[in-house]
Amino acid sequence: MTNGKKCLNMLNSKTDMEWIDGFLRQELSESEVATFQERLAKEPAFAALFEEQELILNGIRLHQLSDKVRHFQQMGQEMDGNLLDDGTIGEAVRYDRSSAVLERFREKGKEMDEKEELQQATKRGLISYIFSRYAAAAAVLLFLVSFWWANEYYSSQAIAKNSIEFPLSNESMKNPSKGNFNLGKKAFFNKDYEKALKILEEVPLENNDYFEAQVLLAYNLFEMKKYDESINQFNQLIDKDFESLPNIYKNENKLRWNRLVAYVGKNNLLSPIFQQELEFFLNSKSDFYRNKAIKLNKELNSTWRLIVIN
Amino acid sequence: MNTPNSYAIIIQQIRSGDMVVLDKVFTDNRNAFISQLVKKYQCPMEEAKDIYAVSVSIFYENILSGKLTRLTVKPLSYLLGVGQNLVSEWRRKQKDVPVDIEKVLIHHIAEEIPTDTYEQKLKLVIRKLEELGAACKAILELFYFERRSIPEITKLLDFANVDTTKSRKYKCNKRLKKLVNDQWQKMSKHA
Repeated sequence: MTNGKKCLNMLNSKTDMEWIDGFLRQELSESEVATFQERLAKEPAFAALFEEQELILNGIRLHQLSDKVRHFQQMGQEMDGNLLDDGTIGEAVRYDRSSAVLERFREKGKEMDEKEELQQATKRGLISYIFSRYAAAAAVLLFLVSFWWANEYYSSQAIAKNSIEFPLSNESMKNPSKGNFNLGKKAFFNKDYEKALKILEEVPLENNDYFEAQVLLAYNLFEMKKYDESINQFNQLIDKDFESLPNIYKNENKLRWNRLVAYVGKNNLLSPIFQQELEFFLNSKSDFYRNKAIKLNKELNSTWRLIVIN
Repeated sequence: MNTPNSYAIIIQQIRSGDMVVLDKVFTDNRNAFISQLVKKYQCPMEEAKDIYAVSVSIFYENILSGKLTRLTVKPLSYLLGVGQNLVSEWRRKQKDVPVDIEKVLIHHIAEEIPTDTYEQKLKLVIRKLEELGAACKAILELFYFERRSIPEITKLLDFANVDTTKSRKYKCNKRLKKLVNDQWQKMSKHA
């Protein structure tokens, strides 16, 4: 190739390059763009040159943009160093951190949930186990307390003891007495029933205090839970000695009531005499004994007595 | 001041090469941009920062290329638009892959998903551009990226006249292409 041809090709090439540069720099008019596109379609060499030049252009763009991005990234890093606490970026950083933290917590939470479930299951099992054990223990304890309470307050002897109508000590002590009987009476009212029993049983018939001694003996036997003997004593007082009793003891209702109560103490609730006497007092004209009879009947029929050992 | 006139001045200043103004745009809008990208797009913080750097770079290129001649919205809104497009495009193409800034830039430049060959050639151009020498590199960058005219480049680089500039630009361009093509042929042979 001669130097002249080289120069011509270069000029032609430059011309093509000017077209291509014009197009790439968006400097061509609409008609020129149309012409340019027509050449691209018709002239493969021109199209190849264009592709080549477009690659160069894009490479330069990529190089420049990468430089700019690096520049701004560096600026950003400097800003982050200084401005982490500044409003929005701080908020964004916190938001991002909190998101990251939240995510970590979510992951952690999942693990914890699994562990928690296991622990809960174990805990539930343990609670259930403990509860069942303690519930059973509590039930047993409750039953024992109830059993104790029922027997303390609803056993036949407890009901009898709470229902007995003792002679009033002050009234009784007003009745003058001498010798051993007086000691026996004092022992009775001092609740020394063993001593009282020995003395009261020894009071001879000819003694003026004999009938009073028989009354106190009935109560004394009751207190000693010798219910059969107490009942017999009350029977004797009611049926035989009644007229001879000192006035302060001459109260038939009281003697009959206490005999009834002795039957309760004996737990002989099905005996005809008990049923008859209870009926009598339930229908008594005396409010006092009728109310006591109602109370006694209620206590004897209480459900608490289902767990009572008599 | 946040008025269309002030935006026009910003564009004019950046267009004329005032990098301080561009840096100010970057610093003024960074916090709000990142905050919104993190909150609205659930973008990880570090990705949001990188996307912002890319967005401002594209904003800059758009001003230089004449794509952006006037702003009808705040620079932040424009930048957010660029950033959101980049994130959306990336997610559309790459799904769950974390943002890769170099690839984001290549996708932006190629306007489509580039072939591996094209991507390699682009990277090769960058490498060879560095081998050209400062003067050649400056001419080509001023001409193709900053879209400076030949008289402007002549003035900026203190060349004798426009013809000299044209000639040097032509030679630099030709040399770069030769470097790229030669290297590409070597690489193709080895491959």
